[in-house]
Amino acid sequence: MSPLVRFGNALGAGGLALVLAFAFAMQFLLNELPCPLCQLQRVAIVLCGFGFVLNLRLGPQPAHYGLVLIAALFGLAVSGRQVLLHVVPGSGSYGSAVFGIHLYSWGVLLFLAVIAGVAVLMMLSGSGRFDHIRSDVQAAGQFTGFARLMSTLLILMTLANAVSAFAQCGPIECADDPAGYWVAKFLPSFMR
Amino acid sequence: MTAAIFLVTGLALMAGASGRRDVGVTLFGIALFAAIFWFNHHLTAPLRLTF
Repeated sequence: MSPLVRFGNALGAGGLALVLAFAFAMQFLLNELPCPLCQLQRVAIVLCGFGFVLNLRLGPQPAHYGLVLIAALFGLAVSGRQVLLHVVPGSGSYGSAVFGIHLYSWGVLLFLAVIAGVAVLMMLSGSGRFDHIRSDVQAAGQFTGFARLMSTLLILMTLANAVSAFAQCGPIECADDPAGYWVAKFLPSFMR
Repeated sequence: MTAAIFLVTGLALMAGASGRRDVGVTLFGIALFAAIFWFNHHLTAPLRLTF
C-alpha cells in the first residue's frame, strides 16, 4: 500500500470520526438531540468508516471500497429523505444550521464526498497493488501511528454513539422529535 | 434499536481492526441490514404506507 493511499484511508476514517465528534458537540453543547433519521445518518457514517479501517489493517481491496460505497449510498438515501422532508418552504427544519446549511444537507454533501473520495482512492490504489496476500502482510505491519490512531478514534466514537443512543432512546424506538433523554426518568430529580 | 445497531457496528470495526475480516464483514452485514430495516420502519410507519 502506497503511503498516499494509506494516508487517504486514514484521513477517511479520521474525518468520519471528526464529523461524529462535531455532531456530539452540537448534541451536548447546544442540547440538540438527534432525531431517528439523524441517528441513522450517524450509523451510515460509521459503516462508511468500516471499509477504510479494513483497508488500513488488511491492505486496499476493491471489496473494502465496495463496503464504503454501499454504506455511503445508504447514508445518501437517509439524508436525502430528510432533506426532502424539509425542503418545501414552510415545512420547517430540524436543528441549527451550520454555515447556512442544516446537518442533514451536510450529510448529503458528506456522503457524495465519500463516494468521490473512494473513486480517487481506487484510482490511486491501482490494479497492480490489489495483491491480497502480499498487501495483507504489508498492511498489518503498517497499521501503526496515524492509521491506528484514526481507526481507534472511529471505534471510540462508535461506542460513544451506542451509549448516547441508548441513553436517549432506550431499548426500543426514539421519539420523532426528541425532547429529552430516556434514561433521565430513572435518575433522581436533582440529576435531570 | 439504534443503540444495538451502533454496538454491532462498533464490534465490526473492532473485528476489522484486529484483522478478523470474516467476522467484521458478517457484523457489518447484520448492522447494515438492521439499519435499512429501521430506516424503512421510519419511512413507512408514520404514514401507514403499505406496498
